[in-house]
Amino acid sequence: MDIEPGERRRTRRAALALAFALAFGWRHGSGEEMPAYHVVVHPENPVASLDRRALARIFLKNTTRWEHDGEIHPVDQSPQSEVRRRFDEEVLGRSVAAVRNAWQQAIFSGRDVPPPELGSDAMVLDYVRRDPQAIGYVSGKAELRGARAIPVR
Amino acid sequence: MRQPTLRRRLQLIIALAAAMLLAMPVVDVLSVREVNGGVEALEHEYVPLLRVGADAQARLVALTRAFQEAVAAQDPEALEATAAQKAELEALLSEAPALVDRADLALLRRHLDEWYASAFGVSQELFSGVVGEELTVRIADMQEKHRVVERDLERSLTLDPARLAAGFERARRVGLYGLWARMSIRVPLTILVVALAIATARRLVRSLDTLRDGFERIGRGEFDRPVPAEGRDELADAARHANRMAGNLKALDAELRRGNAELERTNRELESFSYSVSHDLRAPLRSVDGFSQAVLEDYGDRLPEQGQDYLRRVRAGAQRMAALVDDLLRLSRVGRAELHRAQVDVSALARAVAEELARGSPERPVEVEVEDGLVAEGDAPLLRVVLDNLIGNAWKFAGRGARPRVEVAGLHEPGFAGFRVRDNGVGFDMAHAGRLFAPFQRLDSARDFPGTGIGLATVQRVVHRHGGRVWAQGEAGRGAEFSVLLPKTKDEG
Repeated sequence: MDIEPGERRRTRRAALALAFALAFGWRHGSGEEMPAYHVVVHPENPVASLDRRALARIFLKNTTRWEHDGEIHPVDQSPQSEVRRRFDEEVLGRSVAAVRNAWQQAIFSGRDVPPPELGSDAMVLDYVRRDPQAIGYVSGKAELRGARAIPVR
Repeated sequence: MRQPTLRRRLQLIIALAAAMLLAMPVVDVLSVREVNGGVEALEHEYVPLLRVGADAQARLVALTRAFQEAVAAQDPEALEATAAQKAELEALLSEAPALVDRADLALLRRHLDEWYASAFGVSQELFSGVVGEELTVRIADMQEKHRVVERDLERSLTLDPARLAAGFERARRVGLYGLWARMSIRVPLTILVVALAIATARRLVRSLDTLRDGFERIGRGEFDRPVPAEGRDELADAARHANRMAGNLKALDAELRRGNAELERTNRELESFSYSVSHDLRAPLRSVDGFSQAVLEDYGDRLPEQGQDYLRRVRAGAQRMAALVDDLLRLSRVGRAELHRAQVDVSALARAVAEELARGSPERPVEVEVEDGLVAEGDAPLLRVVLDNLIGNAWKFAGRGARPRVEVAGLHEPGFAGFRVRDNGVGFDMAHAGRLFAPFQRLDSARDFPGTGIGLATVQRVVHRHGGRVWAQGEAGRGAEFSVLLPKTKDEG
């Protein structure tokens, strides 16, 4: 898989963060330096990375099956959370309200059921760890603890 | 009075035909109403079904949107208001036509209730903001319930082609039934009326033929063969009347024949008598005349002039009486002689008569003009008698005119041919025309014009024996015209 410049930058940032961590002990860096969210999957999920468009399609349930096999189980965060706001704006390209509105239409017209909105990073991570077909996102500061983050291109 | 059958039958035919003509539109109307009923049934069942079905689906969509909008607006009142929309949808369902299976409808209502409760609950949850894992399950459940409702609507409130086909089939059957009903009334009624009309017409024609033959026989004088009068209808009545008439005619005919025979016998006796008398009178007259002549010739010189004159008068009287007797004998012969009809050249006869007259009195300058080619049908000697008398009369009376003139010309009428004899003499007053042809009638004075007064009577008798007509026209001082028409038995040609 080709490594894009953005990813190289993130890798550099990660290396820098590691250096900081080594120098000042393990602690959270500033918001500027940490990613706003990590996209996490089950450790057994063979997906290496996803681009934003593929990710948006998964979270809007336009893509419903993993390429390797099985149904995709996306999981959302609370609409009040910052990470949800960032994720919706950056990945889905819309405001949380717009996304919710779209889901409400889908709900009542019976087109689809929105991904469950979980109240915290921990709950998301817990969900992902339990379900090999799940995919979620957590805030950048969250400790992944067994879930696997995949890079977003 | 007996009810005439024929009239009753004709009345029956007319009544039946009228009933048929009146019944046809009535049956038509009834059967069209039947067909319309079938179509209306289709209309009453399927049109409301389509309307309710489409309406219910639209309302379900609206209700769904109302939930979504209430949630989007976070408006609990709007959420509560969905209950009214649901009630409207339920009311609409109760308008579903009888065609819809009630069990299906009950199931639909139950599923609608379940979905509504589910959607209401989900909406309330959505107000709280977070779509939890448990809520997604309920959403999925709600969506399933929604699908069930949609399926129910689809199944119970949409047009079922099989049902529609059955409806049309029913309407078609009703139409066909109407057609058969119409035909079953029309065809037998038409056959009945036509058969009745034919039978009546045949009977009518047969009866009329019989009647015509009967009248023909009566016309020929066969009064003994009555017209057959079978049955009790008007024509049989007419036949009976005809028979009665034939009976009366027969009686009249017999009476007439009897009268005729009597008359003929009397006539014969009379003629024979007058012939005998005339004949017997001639001998004494000849003696009177002959001996008077002998006295005059043998002893005339010994008689004074007056005595001679008396004797001459005796002779003239005797001669006149002899002429009278001859005329009477001729008249009698004319009445008794047998007729031998033939084509007679009237022109030649007339010229012969004129020549004889001219020879008899050469001193009379009478101009006689006879048309060429005059032909009549009759007994030649008798026609000669007619012409003798008519031309003789004309000759006699024409004598007094400035230019005495007699004209014989042709006369024609359909079926008749004849001639007229015209003079320019003294003529006569038409008021006395009726007396002209009676024996011994004389309009003129015997002194002025010699004659016995039997000539025209003889003419009339001859013409009548031929079955012809004779008549006279004239005006005092302006001549007379006598016309004779004799029937033609053969066509001219």
